[in-house]
Amino acid sequence: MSYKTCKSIKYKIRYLILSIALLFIVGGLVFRVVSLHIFEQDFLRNQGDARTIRVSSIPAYRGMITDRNGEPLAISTPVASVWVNPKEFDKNHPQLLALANALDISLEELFEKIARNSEREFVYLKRHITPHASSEITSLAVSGVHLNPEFRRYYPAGEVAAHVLGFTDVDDRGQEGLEKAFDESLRGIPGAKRVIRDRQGCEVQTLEGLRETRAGQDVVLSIDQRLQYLAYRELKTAVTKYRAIAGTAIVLDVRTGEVLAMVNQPSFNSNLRVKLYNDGRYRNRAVTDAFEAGSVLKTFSIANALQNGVVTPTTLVDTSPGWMTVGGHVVRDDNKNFGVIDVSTILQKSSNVGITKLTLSLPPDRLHQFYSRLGFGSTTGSGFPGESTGVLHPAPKQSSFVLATLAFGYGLTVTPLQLAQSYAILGAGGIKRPVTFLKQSEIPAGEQVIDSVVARQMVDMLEGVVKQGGGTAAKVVGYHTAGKTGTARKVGQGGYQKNNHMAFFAGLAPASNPQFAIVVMIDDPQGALYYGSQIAAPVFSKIASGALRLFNVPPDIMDSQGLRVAQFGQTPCHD
Amino acid sequence: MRVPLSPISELLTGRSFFLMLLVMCVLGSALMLIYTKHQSRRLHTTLQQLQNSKDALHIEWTRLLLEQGTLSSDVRIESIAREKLGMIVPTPNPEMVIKP
Repeated sequence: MSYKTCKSIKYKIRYLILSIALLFIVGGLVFRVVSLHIFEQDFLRNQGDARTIRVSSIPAYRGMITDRNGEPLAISTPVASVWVNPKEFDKNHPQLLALANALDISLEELFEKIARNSEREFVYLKRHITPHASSEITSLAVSGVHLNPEFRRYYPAGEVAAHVLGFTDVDDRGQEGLEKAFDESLRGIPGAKRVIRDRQGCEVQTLEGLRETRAGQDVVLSIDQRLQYLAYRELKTAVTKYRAIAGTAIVLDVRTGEVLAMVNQPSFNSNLRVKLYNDGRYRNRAVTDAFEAGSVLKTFSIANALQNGVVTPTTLVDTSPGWMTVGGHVVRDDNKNFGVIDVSTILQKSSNVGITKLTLSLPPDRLHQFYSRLGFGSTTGSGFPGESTGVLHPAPKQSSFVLATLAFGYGLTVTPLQLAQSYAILGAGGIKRPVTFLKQSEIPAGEQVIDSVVARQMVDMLEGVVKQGGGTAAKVVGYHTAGKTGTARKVGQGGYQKNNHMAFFAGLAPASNPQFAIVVMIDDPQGALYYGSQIAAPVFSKIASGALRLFNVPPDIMDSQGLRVAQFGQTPCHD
Repeated sequence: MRVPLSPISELLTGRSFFLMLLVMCVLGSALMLIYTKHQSRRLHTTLQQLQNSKDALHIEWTRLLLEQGTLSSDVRIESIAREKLGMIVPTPNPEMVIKP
């Protein structure tokens, strides 16, 4: 064997060893790659994702509520809520006193609260803090204390529109009033998305949207904020002046059935509900409370007689001697004898005898039918939470006295809103439209429930009540108004009370072409004055005059009561 | 006898050329992927910033709405008009109706 062959064998062995070594290395690498890619892939991917992928929520605002002119009535604005994880809480942070001050609690309370919940991982310290306090807490950076963005509802109009709007709870869900009625569309649904975050916590990529954000929709109400304020001011003045326990005023748009204003007394500040009162101030009396309304309903028993064609406004009825017996009971006209008067005078004088005679001349079921067509005993269709239907029972066939009491407004209960709707029917030429709190872009379809001729006759007769009947305090300078007063005795222990009254006025303005149906109710005035003509009619006059001015309705009385018409060639400033 | 080609000119002919082209394409698309990924992250950051500023503006807007609502509340306007400025609701006497 030569030296050369020996050397080549040696090389071959080296080559073999090297190859095997390399093969092992490569084999090891391949194994590692395979194991990372196949056997440990799930584990590794999860670990990676857990460090970078986060679900981030996208907040959704609750929609705004505005009045018919776009003035905001309810707005959600972001505020922070402070929460703490007691397990992470740093008890030895030097600035804990500053934290307690920012939260407006004492240091002991803070420690007590944390100690009490030491087993939990999430405890609210305070919800809805001021922006100033939240920036302070952020700068303190106490470990375990976090801020959570939330929303708080604000009502710029405060107590003026409190009953209509209602309110939301601390989680921004509608609890009362229109906030509850329209909660479905107002409420926003927060969205969620899966994102990749980098080391600094910035989102670098959105992987997928998990849930679509649905922003709350704005709701445009039919309320006119200016009229609402005006009505509230007048009602509050009257309720305070006559020391009444409650009051309600409603303005309806006759042509559309929209609620333009709805106010109640007593009211509350919807921004600051600190105490729970038990005096019913959170109740929207205008829709939830039903009363025996008395004389204001006589309008409709007379309309019933006209509708059935037995009389016309000029038919004469003998009401002497001022009283009559019906089914063993006496019906009387306040110890007065009006003699032989026509139907429109019966309405003006609010004669019980006259109305009883008219109603008893008809088949007994007609009045009940007429009342139910007007909507008494059923809701107005407004959709307001807790709306009352009132009570309307058919009069028993054998009792003509019950029928007579129904005819002058007792034995059935109506809500102020139903009353306003029924007067709006007269103003709209006998067409009944559903009451709505939403602004309407077109006139909603209605149902003819009273003959249009009868409706017109009734408005003319009601105008007579304001001109020379009991409603003179309801006059408005420059306009004809129509309406009916009412003073009902309240029911208490042992029947109708002598000294507890409800004063009503329901009417239409302007009478020549009605646009507003207005109802004023003042509950249990304690002073010397308690008649509807004395205390409710003046409120009607003030609200009506404000409404006519705000809605720019041209006056229908010219050249009288001091209103002048400009002539051509005559400039107002030279006058 | 064939003259052997130099390695480079061998690459530029036939199947090898095609292979080379594919390699270039793969490399190119890989670079493009890096570029677009970078672009998309940059745009995403911009989107985030814009969304944040949109939120901030919305907060500001509701705050201003509330402030406006407070300043223009009917109670306040009425008291200023009546007390500070001495304004009154005109009585019908100086009013004049202009008929078309």
